[in-house]
Amino acid sequence: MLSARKISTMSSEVLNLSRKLLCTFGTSPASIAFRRSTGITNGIKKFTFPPNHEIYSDFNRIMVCSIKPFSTKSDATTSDAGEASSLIDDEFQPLDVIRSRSFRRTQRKRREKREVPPPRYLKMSTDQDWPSVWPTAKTFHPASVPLPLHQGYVEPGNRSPPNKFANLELMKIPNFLHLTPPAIKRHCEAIKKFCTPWPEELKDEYVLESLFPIEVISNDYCHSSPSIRDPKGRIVTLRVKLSHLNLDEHAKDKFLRLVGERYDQNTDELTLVTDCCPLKKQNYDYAMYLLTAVYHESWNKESWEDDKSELDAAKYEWDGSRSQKVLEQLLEPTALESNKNLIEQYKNTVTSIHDEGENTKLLSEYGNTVRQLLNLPTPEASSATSS
Amino acid sequence: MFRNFHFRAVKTFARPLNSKKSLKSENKLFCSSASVTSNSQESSGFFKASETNPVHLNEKHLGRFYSIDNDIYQKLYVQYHGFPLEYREQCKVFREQCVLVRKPYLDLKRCVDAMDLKKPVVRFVLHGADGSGKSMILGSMAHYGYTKEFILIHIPWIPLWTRYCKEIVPSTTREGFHDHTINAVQFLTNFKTQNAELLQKLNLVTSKEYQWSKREVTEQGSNLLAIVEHGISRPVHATECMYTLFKELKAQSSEEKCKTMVLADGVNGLFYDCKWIKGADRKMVPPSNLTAYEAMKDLFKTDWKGGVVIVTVDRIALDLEFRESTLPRYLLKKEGWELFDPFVPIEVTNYTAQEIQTTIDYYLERKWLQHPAASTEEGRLELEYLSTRNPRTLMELCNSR
Amino acid sequence: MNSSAKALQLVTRSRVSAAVCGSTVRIPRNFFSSSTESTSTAGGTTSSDPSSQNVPQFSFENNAAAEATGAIKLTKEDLDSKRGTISKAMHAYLKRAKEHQEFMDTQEKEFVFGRRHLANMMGKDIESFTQKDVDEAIRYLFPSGLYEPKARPIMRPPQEVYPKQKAAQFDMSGRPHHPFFYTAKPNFYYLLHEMVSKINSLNKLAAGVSRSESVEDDSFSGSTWISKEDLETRLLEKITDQMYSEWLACFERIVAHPKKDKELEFIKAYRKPLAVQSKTSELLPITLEPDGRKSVHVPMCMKKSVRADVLVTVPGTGEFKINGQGLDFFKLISNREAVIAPLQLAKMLGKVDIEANCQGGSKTPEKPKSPGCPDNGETARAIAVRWGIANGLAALGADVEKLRLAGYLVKDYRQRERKKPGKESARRTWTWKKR
Repeated sequence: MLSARKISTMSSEVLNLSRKLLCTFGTSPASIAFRRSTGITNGIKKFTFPPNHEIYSDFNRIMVCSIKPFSTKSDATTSDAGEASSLIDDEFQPLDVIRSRSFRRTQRKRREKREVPPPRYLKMSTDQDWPSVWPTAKTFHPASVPLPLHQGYVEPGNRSPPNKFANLELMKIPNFLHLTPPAIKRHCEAIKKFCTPWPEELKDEYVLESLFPIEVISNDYCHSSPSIRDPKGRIVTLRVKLSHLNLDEHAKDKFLRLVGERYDQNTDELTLVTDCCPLKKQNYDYAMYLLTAVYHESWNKESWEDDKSELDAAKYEWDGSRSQKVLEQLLEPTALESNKNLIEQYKNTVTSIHDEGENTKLLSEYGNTVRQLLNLPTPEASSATSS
Repeated sequence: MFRNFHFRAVKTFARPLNSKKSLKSENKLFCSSASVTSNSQESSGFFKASETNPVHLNEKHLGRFYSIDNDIYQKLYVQYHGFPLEYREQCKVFREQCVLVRKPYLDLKRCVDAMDLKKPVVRFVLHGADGSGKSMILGSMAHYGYTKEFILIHIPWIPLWTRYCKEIVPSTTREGFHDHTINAVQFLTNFKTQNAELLQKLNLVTSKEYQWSKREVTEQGSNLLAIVEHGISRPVHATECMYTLFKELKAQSSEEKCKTMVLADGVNGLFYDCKWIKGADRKMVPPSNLTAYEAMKDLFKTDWKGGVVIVTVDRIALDLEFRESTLPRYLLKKEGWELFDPFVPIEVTNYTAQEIQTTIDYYLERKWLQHPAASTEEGRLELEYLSTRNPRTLMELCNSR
Repeated sequence: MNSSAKALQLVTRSRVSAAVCGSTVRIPRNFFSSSTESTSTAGGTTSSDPSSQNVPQFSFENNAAAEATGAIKLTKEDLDSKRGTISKAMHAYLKRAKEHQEFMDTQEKEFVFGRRHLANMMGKDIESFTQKDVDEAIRYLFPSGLYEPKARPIMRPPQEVYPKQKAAQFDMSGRPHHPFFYTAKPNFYYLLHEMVSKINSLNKLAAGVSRSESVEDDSFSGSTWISKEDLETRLLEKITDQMYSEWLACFERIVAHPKKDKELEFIKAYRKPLAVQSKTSELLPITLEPDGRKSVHVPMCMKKSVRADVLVTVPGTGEFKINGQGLDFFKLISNREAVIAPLQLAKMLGKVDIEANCQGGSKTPEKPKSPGCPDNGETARAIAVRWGIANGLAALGADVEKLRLAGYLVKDYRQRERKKPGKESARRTWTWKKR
């Protein structure tokens, strides 16, 4: 291809030459003809000598005519030499009154195309140290990553998924090239010197729980970007078993009422989740404060707590309840005396029905007790005489 | 839930894969009642006991059907919901009244037999899953009570008083109370049908004079039936008559002049708000402001002797929000529990494997199950599983369209 | 050249006919030797081309063909003396084939190096770094949240990534290798030609045999003809529906032939097994309980958003335990029917114990459609449990075919369709009013 430099040098050459010619040789037709016949070689395009008065205007035309339009097709057959020879052969150049497109195209200064070197990954060795190549989170850079990736959905047919160069989808993915397993290992090794081993004494769960009853849980979040900030990182969860807290009956009842749903009966655990403050430390402080406050409050007994009615009671109290009164009415005094055991049993069943919740088993126990109290046969007895 | 049934298609077997519709959309075969044997006294097959006197029923008859005499049935049950509606319809078709003898029934019978009538009344509470047979057992206890010459106070379905009541009027005699008119009249009519003979026989008389209004008086010493008849003729006073009647019966039973059996179905309906009863000022009337409630509540107390109280708690008696559990403590609420405690709870479960097969045998014998595969083992298994051995579901499955 | 001639040579898909009469181009003297190299490489690649395996082979030698047709054979002397002319289009083809081959080679090299790099990156041993490890590593390094698996980043051997192409289909003189080249779909028509000749040979064999002796053969019961897409990928040619049906009709004729046993191999090459057949061995494992019973655990029973797992134990008493309750967990009779249906079909109702846990579903007991509503999204749970029971029974030895025919073994993948704007629900448009 003919570079712009070449054209410009050529035109300057033309200019110089023509200037020289004009200065030295003059403009007589004879001299013109003489020069023409000798033929000036050395890569100079052919030009004509127009009449004197039009010399300036024709300089432009010289430039124009001297540069034959190239074809943009990179034909192997076309070459500069061939072009030059064909031009040399022509007698007259056609005068382009109408400035053709080709002229414009060639006149435009072609931007110099910078030579792009081949991608870097071709020179990488297969046993290189990858974490040094990709130390931090970085957008995907196809020339630095030696993997022949393809991404893109294509209809099953003739096309293949696009390769990694200029693949936006690959760039969109937050990649983890900076966190390959060897890299993570190195991180861990680097952090290890700040860590101490887990103490032997605390290997036992029971000991651990008794020495450290409060469990504080918080999360840290890392992204593929360098930032470690995440709003979820401020949440702090505090877990403690109520058996580790010193609460008497009243205190425990009040504690449970204050705490509500945060208490899990099955595991006897209180879970406090705090996220109202923006910082983790603040949330942690608040959680500890909350626990202390609830604990101490539950030991306080307010005057209005005595107004608690039967309905609010957490547990069912049989003694002094209506149930007891009715029973006393029902049974004769002698019966009351002799059936102390039964009454005890009755009391237990009624209490458990109220406390634990009803189920058929408890109910049948209750039924049996009542039957015994009222001297009625039990259901087993009725079916005992089956044939 | 208002038990509102109509006959449905005979049960089909092995439905096609993609049909998601229930069985009800299939065949329309009807059982021809002409082919049904009308002689209920025959003991055809193992599943039918020949015993008709409930007093003599015992474990030998467990899992078998016993039939109730037609005239007794007419007297006790037909008019007024003695048995559930579906069962009564079935009896019409089958032309006989057969009841399955089940364990809770025998248990109850035994307890009632063993009871000391000189002691305060014992309350029995039947509870169980929906459609497991509580009302049936209650109904068959009525038969037993009748045979044993108890005076029956049979209140068939209490939500009829608290939810589906036909007419409520403010009470004339009590301040702030409301009376049921039609319901009370119906009850009294039935009471009369059930107990007129016995009352005559025992010659129970009023202990004092009752003045219903300025001009209407029931003198002391008149037969209790007079109260009943007054109530029937004067709907305005009907609930009051009920109340008085109950009081009298309680007093008379305590004096050992008679035995009373109180049967009430769906008693837990009394302790919940009656959303549908609105007073004159369009405000909801709480149950405690109903005379009928007062009357019934007194019956369940233990301050009388010489009787027995058999009651069912059913979660269907309540609104949809209160149907978490089928157990008495939940259903009776605090108030009800305190009223009934201590009581004898009797659980009525779904059928056992033997009982359900017996019922299927009975249906087959009555030619109710027309499908050829119904009598095969696979058919029976299918019926058993689809109904999960629940008596009502089985009945629904076998009903015709 | 000979080796390449022996193998089947497939033509590039550029327009041959149009450019055959293109302008002649001067070529340098040494073009022939280089072109032979290029064609040999082109031929060499095609011989290793897996696509050529299933297409019927034929042995044609270029020279023989040239002689047969009486065309001028270009001898070496000819080449040296005259300047051989080669059509521009042909030249372009060869160039393109060469380029493609070079491209594939570079891709291959890149992939090999890329694997090594990846193994090095992940700190794994290259020797034991399989394609599965490669996929896993790519998933680790480039976690894509895209739902479509084909849209996610992949690193595969170039043969799997780049679609197969036909290499140069004619030699430097412009003579096509394939005899059927000018039909524009040589492989397809050659295949038809083969099939017809087979029919003719079978007819000859069956000359004495009467038609009625043809017996119904069940050897093809478990398989079906390859689809149009499969045929296209095999022949590397686009096939219309009409062509496909013609081909199928021809094959059916072979299959219907009394003497088809001679060509069973050929027929089987074009049949693929039914999806169902290939999964018969995928029954669930049976575990032995401590009390001596056998049980099958079916995890992940799905229907809509319900997730259930079912445990079928044999021998049993017909006990049901669904979320702790019995069969009355399902309030609707139709749902109960659905659940016991596979048991009825396998005649195991009452002989197995079923234990199921199901959670999920759009309407849960915690937030029901309405209080006391009987259904509450039960049907989805019932179907999920039914699938689990059916699979459990199949694994325990029930008649799998019966269950399959009844459709109990197929997972119902249907989900609720989304509501679209401009419509009242997924499909229903609002009532059109004239004014």
